[in-house]
Order: sequence, then C-alpha cells, then structure tokens
Amino acid sequence: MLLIADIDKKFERGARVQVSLRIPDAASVMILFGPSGAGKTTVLRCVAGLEKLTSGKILFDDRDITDIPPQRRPFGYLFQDYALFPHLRVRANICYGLKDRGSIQRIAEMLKVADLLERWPSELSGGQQQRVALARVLVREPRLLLLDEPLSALDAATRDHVRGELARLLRAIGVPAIVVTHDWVDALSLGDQMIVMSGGRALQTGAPHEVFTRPADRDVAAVVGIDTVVAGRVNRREAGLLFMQAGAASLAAADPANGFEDYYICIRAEDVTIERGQAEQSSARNHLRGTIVDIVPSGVLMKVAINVGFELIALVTRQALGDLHLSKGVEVVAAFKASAVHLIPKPGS
Amino acid sequence: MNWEAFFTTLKLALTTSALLIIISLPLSYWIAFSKWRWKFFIEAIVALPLVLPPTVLGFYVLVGMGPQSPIGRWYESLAGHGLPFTFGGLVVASVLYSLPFAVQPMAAAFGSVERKYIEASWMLGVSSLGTFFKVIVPQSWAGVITGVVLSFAHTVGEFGVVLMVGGNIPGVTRTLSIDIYDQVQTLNYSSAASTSVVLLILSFVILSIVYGLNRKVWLLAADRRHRQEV
Repeated sequence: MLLIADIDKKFERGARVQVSLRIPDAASVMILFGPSGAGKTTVLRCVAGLEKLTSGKILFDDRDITDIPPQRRPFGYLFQDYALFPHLRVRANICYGLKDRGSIQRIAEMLKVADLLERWPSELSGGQQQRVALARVLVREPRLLLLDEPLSALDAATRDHVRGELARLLRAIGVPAIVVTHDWVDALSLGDQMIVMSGGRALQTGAPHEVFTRPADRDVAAVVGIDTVVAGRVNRREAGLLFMQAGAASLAAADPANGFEDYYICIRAEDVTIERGQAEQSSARNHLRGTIVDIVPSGVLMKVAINVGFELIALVTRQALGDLHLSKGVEVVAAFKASAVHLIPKPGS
Repeated sequence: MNWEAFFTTLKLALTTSALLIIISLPLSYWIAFSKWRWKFFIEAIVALPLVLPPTVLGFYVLVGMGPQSPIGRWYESLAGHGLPFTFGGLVVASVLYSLPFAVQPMAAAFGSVERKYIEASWMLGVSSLGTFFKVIVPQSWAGVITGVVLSFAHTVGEFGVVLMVGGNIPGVTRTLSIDIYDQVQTLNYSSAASTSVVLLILSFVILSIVYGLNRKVWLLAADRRHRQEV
C-alpha cells in the first residue's frame, strides 16, 4: 500500500470525521464522494497535513508521516478554487518553491499553459486556472495527488470539457490520486475506486459504477442519488443516436458527440415507465422486456428492479403497482426515452 | 523655523519607523495568526498607547529607564550613561508610543490574506517563514506601508512623551512640537506659526499618501475581479 490512513478528527464544535483510507501503489484514482458537510475535504486535509489528527495514524510508503509538516509530505494539493497567487504571474506561480527553475517547460507544454506564462492569474479563464494550478502541483513531481472538488469552480459548459481533459491527464501521468467530489459524473468519469461518505463516516467502498448501481443500504442510496449505472459499448451511430450494447440488452441513447466507444449508461429511475404487454418499436424510445427481480419502498414511491439484460431501476407509485399487478417474477416492458439516457465516458477508454 | 529641531525630529521619526518595521513584522504576524487563548492581553498591551495619556506612558518609560530599575542599571553599565534625556531614550519611548500605529494596520492586512494561499504555499514545500515573505507580505503591501507611514507621522507629532523622557535639550531631544511650545511660551507667535504650518502640511501629505495608497490597492483588486467576470 502506498498510503494507509486511519483518520479520526474531532472538531471543537462536535463534528467528527472517522475514515480509513487505503491507496494502492499502482496508479489509481480514489474518489471521496458525498454531500457537502460529509467530511470529504477534512479527510483530504488530514492526509495533506493541513489538519492535525485527534487520533489515528498516516503511513506513506511504510513511513509514519502523522506528525510530518505539510511541506515535507510528497503530495500535490489542488485547492477547490485553485489558489493561484494573485501577486505572481503564471510563470512565477508554477516556479513557486522550486529550486531548479529550468524544468517547467515540459510541464507547461503538457498542460497547454506555455502561452500563458506571462499572464496574471486574474487574466485566465477557469479552465486555464485549473491547468496552471495542476502544472504548479505536477512540476514538483508529487507521489500522490490530492484534488479537492477539482471541477466545482467551473461553469457547466466548461466543466464537461475540463473533466475529460482531467481524466486523460490522470491516466497519462500515472500518479495515484484522491479526488473529492459531490458530483456523480465526476466520480464515474475519474474514479477507479470510490468511498461514499456521509456524516463523517465511510458508508461504502467499491468501484464507482458498482456503488451507484448497488448501494449497500438506504443511506448510501440516498447519498448517491442515481439509480441505474451499467457499462455499455457503442454498436453503431445514426442520426444523433448511439445504439449500444449493455449486458444482454441493446438500447438507444442520445449521442453526446464526444467520440468514445465505452460509456457508463446512467438512467434515473423516475425517467423509466413500466408497461404490460407487447414491446413497441420506436428508435427514439427504448422498450426493454424483462422480469421484475425486486420491489422496495422509496419514500412515497416504490423502486422496482427489472432484469432487462442488466438491472434497470424504475420508480412507480403504489397506485400503479396495484393497477399493473406488479410483483416479483412478473414480466414487463420498461420504457424510457433515448434522451433520458446519460452517457459518461468510461475511465481508461 | 528651527532647523536643528527639524533634523532632530526627522532623525527620531526615521529611526523609530525603521525599528518599528523590524519589531512589527513578527509581532503583527503573531497577532494575526496565533491561536493562543490569552492573545488578547498582548493585543491590549500593544494598543495601550492609543488611550493612555502620553505623560503616563512617559512617566513609566522614565522610571523604567532610570537608575532605580534593573533595565536602566543594565543599560548604564553597558553604555556608561543612563537612557533618560538622551536621543536613545527618546527612541525607546517613541517606539513604544507608536507601536500600535505600526502593528494594527500590518496585523489587519496579514489577517486578511486568505488562508488558502498560505496553505497552498505550504503544500508547495515552502516553510512558514518563506511563506511570510513570499505570500503574506507581498499581499499586504498597503497595510505594511500604512503602518510605517503612520508610525512615522505619529512620531513627528508626539509631544508629551518627548517632554517627559527627552527633556528639552537643543540638538539632542528638542523636537519640532516642543519647539513650538517653547516659542509660544516666549510669546514668539510668528515662529510658532511657521513651524506649525510645516507640521500641518507634512501630516496632511502623509495621511493623503496613506489613504491614496489604500484606495489604489482597492481599485486594482476591483479591476482584477471585474476582468475575471468578463
């Protein structure tokens, strides 16, 4: 293990964060996922040395670094709004704290900031600021990256683009990373492993798409909030639609036009309707035949799991449950629009 | 215009400001960032000269430097003469008297540097001391200069403390403000008036610099924010 962190942090006002974290030596991305106030950033700050542990231990490379100051930990920390020094130009920001100032050219080119070196941070767009901040961190060749909500400071239009770039970069540099996020799209596109946090505790650990599809309990389900996540591959592209293979089923989805072959297919339960009878054919609307495998209450509604070749979750009223005579083992047709399918490029594809 | 008093005043104000930079930078840093629970006592002590009558401060400094006190005796054994009624004694008193004028703007400026910049510097491997000079001070220029200029101006204008500690020795401890007092005592109004006008203009110019400086910094920050939004 590269990092073994057993963190217990009590705050004066009573909040407490207790999490155990294991990061393997191989380059991989660990997601800390949860709502704000879950303690994700606290975990990251404890690993970085910016917060002192109340009790617990942090081992890095089998060395106890619990009481080592942040300056002497070989970590790169990306702050939520990047924290570029406003009184220094981009070049001086990247060189900050470096002894050998000649070595920034390669990093600057890799992150496409070579043309920005003489600018002030205030003259950069959000995406550019993020790249400069990453360059400033990477030029020091950290052994572990700590990214605090790396995309939340960006507007929605920029975010999708930057997210793709960040995913590619994390694969390319091969440095393990811990990424804090509350956005499930970030978690699926960046993460290899994920810890779901709430109220200062880890609720579930696993690969992101597995955690999203199979939350261990109601608490996790409430935190993760999406319902069906399944890996899928593009069969053919046609008229703005992707026809995809997912498990034993095939379905149509709106083409996000980013040219990937492998995606996570995400479908919200409230977008899925259940019908009895024959499956109709229509390219813009998916009709998948399957068997009900589970029915659980979800607030005032009922969550129905249907095996259509993969496990698809639908949300129906109790009224509909009775009207359609739905129960375990019943064969139904699940319908959803192609536009209700959210596609997220699979990490590493 | 008494030029001898003018140069004594200038020398005193420059020496005091220079010493106050050295003392106030670390003290302001400590006040801005220490989490010590009794910190407010130190803050109150630093602020005392703002409210204390100068004669009270002068009295204590005089007694503290005198042959009855250990500090006074120690200095006398070292220098061969006592501190009271010398230029050195006047400098000590002025530093104490102007301390809050230097420390308060600096501490306020240091304290308003956003935490994330300090932590970013640490995460980039730079020590706390390095962070102070590379991040905190450069982002607090207006506060540092304000502190230095205000303490300079305050020293130029002090009267009670100088009279108590320095006496009134021409060429050594007689400053402009005391010179004015002497002129009025001897009914020499025209000389008092010309010196007063010099002090008035000097004070006005200094304060204009301070306010102008803070305004300019404020405008720059607003301008950067504006460009960021566009």
